[in-house]
Amino acid sequence: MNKTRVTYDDQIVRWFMTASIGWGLVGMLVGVLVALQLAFWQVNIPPFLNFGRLRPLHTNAVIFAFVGNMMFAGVYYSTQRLMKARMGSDLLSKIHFWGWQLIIVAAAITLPLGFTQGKEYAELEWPIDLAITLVWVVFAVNFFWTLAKRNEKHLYVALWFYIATIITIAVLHIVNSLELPVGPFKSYSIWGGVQDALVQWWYGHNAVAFFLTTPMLGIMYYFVPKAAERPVYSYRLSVIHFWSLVFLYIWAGPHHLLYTALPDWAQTLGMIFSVMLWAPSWGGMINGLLTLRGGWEKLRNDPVLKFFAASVTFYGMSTFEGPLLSVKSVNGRAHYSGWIIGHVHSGALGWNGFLAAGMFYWLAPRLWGTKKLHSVSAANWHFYLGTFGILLYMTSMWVGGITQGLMWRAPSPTRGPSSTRASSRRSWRFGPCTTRASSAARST
Amino acid sequence: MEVLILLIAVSLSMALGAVLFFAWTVRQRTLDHADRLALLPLEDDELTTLEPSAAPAAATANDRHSMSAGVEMRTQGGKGRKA
Repeated sequence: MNKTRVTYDDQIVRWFMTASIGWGLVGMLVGVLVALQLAFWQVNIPPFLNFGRLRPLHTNAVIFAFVGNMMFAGVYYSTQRLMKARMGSDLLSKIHFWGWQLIIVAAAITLPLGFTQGKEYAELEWPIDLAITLVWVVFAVNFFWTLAKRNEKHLYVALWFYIATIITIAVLHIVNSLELPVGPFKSYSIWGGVQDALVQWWYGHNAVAFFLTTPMLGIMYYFVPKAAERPVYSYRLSVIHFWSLVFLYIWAGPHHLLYTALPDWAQTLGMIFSVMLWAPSWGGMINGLLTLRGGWEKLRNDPVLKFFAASVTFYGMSTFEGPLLSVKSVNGRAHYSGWIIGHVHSGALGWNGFLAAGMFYWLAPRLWGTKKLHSVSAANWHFYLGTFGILLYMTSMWVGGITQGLMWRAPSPTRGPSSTRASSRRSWRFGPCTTRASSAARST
Repeated sequence: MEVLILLIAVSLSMALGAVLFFAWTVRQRTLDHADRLALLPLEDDELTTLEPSAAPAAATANDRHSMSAGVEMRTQGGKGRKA
């Protein structure tokens, strides 16, 4: 029988994977530096290397450089195989790669220089915003071109997650970045006041949803069955997971604005949709973990499966904690405390980071033509050190953050019940309290 | 309160859209392929094969040169494995 060879473009996967590892090292080193700056003020070197300028560099590097490049590596590798077709255009793949790296370099230069819109995860100024839009469109055209010429009629669920990512990130980025430039590196958002806050956190939360979650779930649904050598536990559940997740996630942004000037009904709406997210998130987590059914003995010897199992478990933990934190009464104690920092790091390091590690350890021997990993023992050490480190991080931030929140809300023994800047809005809900913010407000 | 009218209209149109899309996907028998699709990632990457009828779709400028009898999958750049 005549058959056709399909030549996949794996060069682009190697590039993105290498870039992800490199930028991951940079992003995490900057994270260590900003942590030191919190503990030892002397480590702040004004003005370029202050905490205020390096913190957005850390978040941008980890989210868009480390996870972004990892996501593109996974998408390019799995899309070609699931569609049984080479990417639409090698040139577009290369433009996508180099364009994305240039954007990261531009961020690394402009953020320490102080050029920022002051919008979390959307700090980059308007020329870079335009570049992000262009490069994203290039990625989208290349992906949908491949979709159009695919040789597999039906789309595996991972591809649906990728499609949701591409479309939604484009909409989020464009709407939140609508701005009026007043100079080469200065612009003002067209949104104002509470509308600006709502649009920003509609974007900010869905950056978590559609940049750090949906593409990762697509990667999970492709690479976990691949590594476990067994099909996903329930394909139908994965379809329900997809539709329920993308429908619910987009409404959850207002939970970042509880107890603010945002109308109360909108705050409640954000909270309710966040709580509803428990169901699809855990449905997906259980689906991922049960894919390993009957193959648990492989976990003892295979570092790839160890990383995947831990990653999906961290996904479950993070998506339990997120809705919990969005409940108003919990949020009243947790917001602004170290608990939130612990939460985002369990997601970024545990879920995204471990998924990246598992995928890279699975891909590396296949992409570079070696038969196995250079050192399985080193990969195991990586896993155990990482797990210990993340758990230590999370638990210390739980203890520290919850203590912090409770102390902020504790009655002052010297001043008694107080009505303060932070507490006046909510003291009728929670009773009397004195907060750090209120002390500062009183003293001024 | 005026916004409620807009919200209800948008919500109803989204619900109607969802029902229509569901009906469409049932008629397409998309979910009938769930069992086969679940196995798709497990297919051996090195044995990607296409029936001759599907060949033209795969023949882009990038891989037209690679069409021939037999089964082979290559990665670009010379560092990949050959089947």
